[in-house]
Amino acid sequence: MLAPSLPMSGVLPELAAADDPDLALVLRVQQGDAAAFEELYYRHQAGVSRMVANFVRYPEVVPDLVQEIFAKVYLRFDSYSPRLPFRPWLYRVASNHCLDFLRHRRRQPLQVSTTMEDDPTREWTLPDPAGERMQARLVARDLAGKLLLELSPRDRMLLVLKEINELSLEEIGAITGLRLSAVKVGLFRARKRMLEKYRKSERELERRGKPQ
Amino acid sequence: MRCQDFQDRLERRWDDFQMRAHTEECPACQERLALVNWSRQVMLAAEQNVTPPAMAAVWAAVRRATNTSWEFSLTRSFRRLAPYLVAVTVLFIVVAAFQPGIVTSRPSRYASALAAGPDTKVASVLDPDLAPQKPGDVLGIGGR
Ligand SMILES: [Zn+2]
Repeated sequence: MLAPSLPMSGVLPELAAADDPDLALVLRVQQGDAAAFEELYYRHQAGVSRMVANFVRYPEVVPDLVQEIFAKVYLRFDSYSPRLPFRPWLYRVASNHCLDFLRHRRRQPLQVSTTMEDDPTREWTLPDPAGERMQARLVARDLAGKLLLELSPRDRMLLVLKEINELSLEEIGAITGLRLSAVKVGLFRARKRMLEKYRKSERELERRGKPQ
Repeated sequence: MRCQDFQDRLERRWDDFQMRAHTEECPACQERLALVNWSRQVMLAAEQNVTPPAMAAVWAAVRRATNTSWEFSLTRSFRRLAPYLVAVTVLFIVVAAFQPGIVTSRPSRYASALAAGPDTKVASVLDPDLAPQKPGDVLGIGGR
């Protein structure tokens, strides 16, 4: 089930708009300065593109989505109040846009995309909450992508914002409309669920590998 | 150090002496640390890198969105007004049906002319055909 759109109001007290490094540019855009908007775009294009690509995971639609997000932001500048720093506001618009996209596309089967990284044999150690030492090697990054895709949009969004975009807990709270404690709990649960899915797929592989 | 402080620092990517000391004595936080590290590695492995669109493409999207929103608001305004337009039209038809002289003017005119009786002035003004040839010949049967 897809998450509802993220709320467009609500500010976390931890985030002070006065310290916002984008504030001067934002005010210029609100005065109709197109060059200031272009500067904001160059500042945030990479981050938003990473967020969209890793959350949506349809590489072919990412450029279109990113363009639409920035167009939306540009046309909504009148309604933007600097009570909330620009970056969380931008990511909130982006998150809602991605959720809308997934909602429209949910009947189509999900595809596991292959990333363009040049290290296909990355391996990592798995934690072993039960106490026994367990090591596993994930040979294909597709498995990592599949694990991420199998999460709910909400879990995936939290993990992408935290681990891919490296946003602060406060910013994630402002983007998702969650309290700080809820962000922490949400991240923990998302990780747990990802691990459960991994273990399940491992058991599945083991079962299939056994001779009949 | 409390477990809650450890977990908070862990999410903020801190790594200090106090935290390391805590994991040595707290299996729950040790497990949490392993989970966080593992999921970070999965996320890094799953990461997709894309090239952001050019600025010109963003401006084109702005133009498209502006056109779409203008057309959309026009359609939406019409959709909002449509029930009122229908209601006003229906009301006009109903009112008109009961208003003498608007839709059913001819029968009413004859009726009032008949009611006017021998007043030839009124009858002739209303319809020259109704003007009697002579007094008392309102129905035009006088010459028989
Ligand atoms: Zn602890």
